[in-house]
Amino acid sequence: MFEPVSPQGRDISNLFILTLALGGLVFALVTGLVIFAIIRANRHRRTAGEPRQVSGNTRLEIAWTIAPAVLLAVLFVPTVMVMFADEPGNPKNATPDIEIIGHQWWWEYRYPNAKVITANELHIPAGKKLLAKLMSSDVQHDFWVPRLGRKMDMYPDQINYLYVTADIPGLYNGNCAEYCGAQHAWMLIRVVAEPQADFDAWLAKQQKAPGVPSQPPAQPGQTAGNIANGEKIFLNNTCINCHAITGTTANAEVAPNLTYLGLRGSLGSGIIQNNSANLARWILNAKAIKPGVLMPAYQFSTQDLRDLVAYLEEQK
Amino acid sequence: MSQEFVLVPEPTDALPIGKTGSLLYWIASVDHKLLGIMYIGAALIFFVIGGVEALVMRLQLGSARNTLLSPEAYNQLFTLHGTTMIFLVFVPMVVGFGVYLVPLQIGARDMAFPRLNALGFWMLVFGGLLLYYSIIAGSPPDSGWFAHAPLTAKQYSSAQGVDYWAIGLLLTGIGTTTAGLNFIVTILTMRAKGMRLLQVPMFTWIMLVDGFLIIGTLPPLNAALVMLLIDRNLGGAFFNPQAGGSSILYQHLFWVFGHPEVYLLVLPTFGIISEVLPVFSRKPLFGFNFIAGSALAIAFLSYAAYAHHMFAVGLGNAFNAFFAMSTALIAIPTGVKIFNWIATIWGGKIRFTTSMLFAVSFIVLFTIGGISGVTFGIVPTDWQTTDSYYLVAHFHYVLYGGSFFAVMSGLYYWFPKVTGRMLSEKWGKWVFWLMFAGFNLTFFIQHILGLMGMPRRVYSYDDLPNWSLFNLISTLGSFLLAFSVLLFIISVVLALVKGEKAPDNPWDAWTLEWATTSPPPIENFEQVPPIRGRRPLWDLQHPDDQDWQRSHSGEKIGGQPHEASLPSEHRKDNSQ
Repeated sequence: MFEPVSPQGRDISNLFILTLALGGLVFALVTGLVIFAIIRANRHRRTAGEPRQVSGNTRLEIAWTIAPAVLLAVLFVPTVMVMFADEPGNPKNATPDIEIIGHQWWWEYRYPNAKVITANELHIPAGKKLLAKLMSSDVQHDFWVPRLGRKMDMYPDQINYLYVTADIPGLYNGNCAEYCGAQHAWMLIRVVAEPQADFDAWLAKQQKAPGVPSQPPAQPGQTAGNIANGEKIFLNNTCINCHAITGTTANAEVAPNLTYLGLRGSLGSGIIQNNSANLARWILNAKAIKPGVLMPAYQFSTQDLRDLVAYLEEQK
Repeated sequence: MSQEFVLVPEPTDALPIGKTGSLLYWIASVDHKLLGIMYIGAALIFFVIGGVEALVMRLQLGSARNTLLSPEAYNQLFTLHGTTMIFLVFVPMVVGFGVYLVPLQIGARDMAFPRLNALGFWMLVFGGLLLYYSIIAGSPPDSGWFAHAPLTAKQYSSAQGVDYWAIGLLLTGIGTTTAGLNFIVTILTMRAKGMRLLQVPMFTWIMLVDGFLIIGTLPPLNAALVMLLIDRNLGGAFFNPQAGGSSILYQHLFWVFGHPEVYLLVLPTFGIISEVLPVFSRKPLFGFNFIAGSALAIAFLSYAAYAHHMFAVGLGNAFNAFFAMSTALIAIPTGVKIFNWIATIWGGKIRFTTSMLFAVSFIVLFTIGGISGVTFGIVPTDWQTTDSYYLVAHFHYVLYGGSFFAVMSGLYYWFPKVTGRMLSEKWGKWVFWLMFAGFNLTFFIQHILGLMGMPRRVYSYDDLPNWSLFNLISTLGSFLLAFSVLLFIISVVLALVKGEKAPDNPWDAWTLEWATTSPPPIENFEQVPPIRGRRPLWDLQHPDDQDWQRSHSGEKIGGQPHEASLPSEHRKDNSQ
């Protein structure tokens, strides 16, 4: 169940299967008794008069009060064991490996030790039990990646902690699991678990400023964007009121950090694939793609748009 | 037969009433029967509205990345659907059953406070109208039926929808509270002479428990709503973290209402089942005292179990363990009821009327909802399943497959009494089987969608393997379900227009409401049969085999009825 890839996830999955198995037995018992009672009644249907007027049986009733109590007591033991094994609680003095901040309707990820900030795609080293600190910048959100284990609410007025582990490298999908407004549906989570070396390389890259990426060789039949001009367009427009890119004057934290945007798989928290055509559409009118999103529409000349997209997409 | 009939005391005040059938007759009425019919009628109208909202949502979810609805429209729809179904369908439905049946079942002429009864009904209606007026005003609420803070704060929900929602619910909440009070006083003080408190029919007993639940449950909600209105309109900061308030406080206040509320809605449907199963099995209810006690236990424990709605909030293991324990405890009295019901039909002569079909399927469907409910009491599995479609499936199994099937059973059972007409059994069987199929087709697969990772309250989803297919199955099921409701409505109209005339006691039932005409006259009864047990009409028909002459196992024990159970004039009779 849930195809878990973490010890926490496996604990929960096993407990769920146990609960379901016991529940299945109860269901089989209840349904079996109902069906059997109906079959018996059918057999006696033609007998005359009223059936025997039985109105209770104290011993039986005590038995079926105690039986479920025992069953639930049995379930309660592993419940508490899993709770205490998998809940970090509120660890004092512990530095979290990652900080996850929910925003209407995107995810901010911070690596406090490496001083790296990124958005919407969480990279983690596979096989490591990481401590995540969960917060919200506005309303209630909830971080839920089913294959990694439990979900956990995020509040503007309470800090929560969560263990994040993926034993096997891969891409794990999740969603915000607490209704948070218009675009709750498209607040998807992408967790990229990769071998330690790959993760280290990714993190080291994020620490470095991308600068102005080198111009890629022109493709035949395509007009390439001018990357240096793209950076100017980015820095001279209101982009920088909300977005940040490491190593530039853009350092706002209202909207997703765009450093190395070209490395990410999706735009708009998962609503569209990340490619140049989609990014251009997004910049011109994000609300047409994701109604309710806070980013305003922009008007650029075709060439300026091409330059801006090239600047953002070539950071990879 | 030397059995003396008990006179029913007349009300001291004359009741204002217009010409029979006129508008004034309905609007000005304080008669519990007319109010009961209006409660149930209002509930059915809102049920159709809430159902249409659900169908539009299911259309939107029929395929991945569907663009039928904007996210705003979808969010308004699920908010209205949830609020409508809980507050404007289930509440008036169970209160309506109670208001109609309680005085009849205890041999009284009306509720204790007839005018309060009317006030409660009209407050509910106007609360509902105010909620729906928000559509005309241009901004329906869109924060979900539990409207967690701080999403409801002015800076995140600047439109007036939340205010309409809060004031509408406040009105219905006050109205319902008065109904709860009325049930308690009526049942405690207006029982026919000779009817001891534990001799009332199970439905009435449960409405007594429910009365206490109502007056304990709705005030926290009303308080939270007032605080929310102060936050939004007077610059308060109860729930606003930026100004030092606590968003989690709102959750405590809401769920200390919200969880008992579930039992407030479910318990009366247990009462309906406890009336229907015995009559169509031709046996008394098995273990009356256990069922009566378990209703009390559920009512108490429901307050202690509320925070299992908050296991993902991050309140710590000690807190969660306590509520996991109390949630496990509440499963016990619920299980007791299921087994008592099975024992009731066990060995009986079952008549599969439509009402009985709904009642028996209730046992099975409610058990599914109960079992999936246990996975929310087990804290770690709740961490996976809460706020997913698994949860949506769970509470629809409890509230629709469970409670609403019980309501359907009750509607088929009491329809002849209320209207004087029989509902077509032939249509009824179609309604039942289509509703059973449609319901399971719609909701069973949602368990699986939830386990696959689909969160609730999303207007759109990515095209992942099987998501579109499973959602489409659910959507098709919902239309089958809607079709069964349509059939039901048509059959009700047909029955009212040209239905077969109903006899006074068509099901050969045993409680007092069947001792009067169908429909009952304005004063209900001139007199009721003597009450020596829980089935006065059985005792009347079987003077040689009355309930008090038998042990639990059905053996004859002979002897005299318990002295205390008889009114004084009977005591004299028996001693002669």
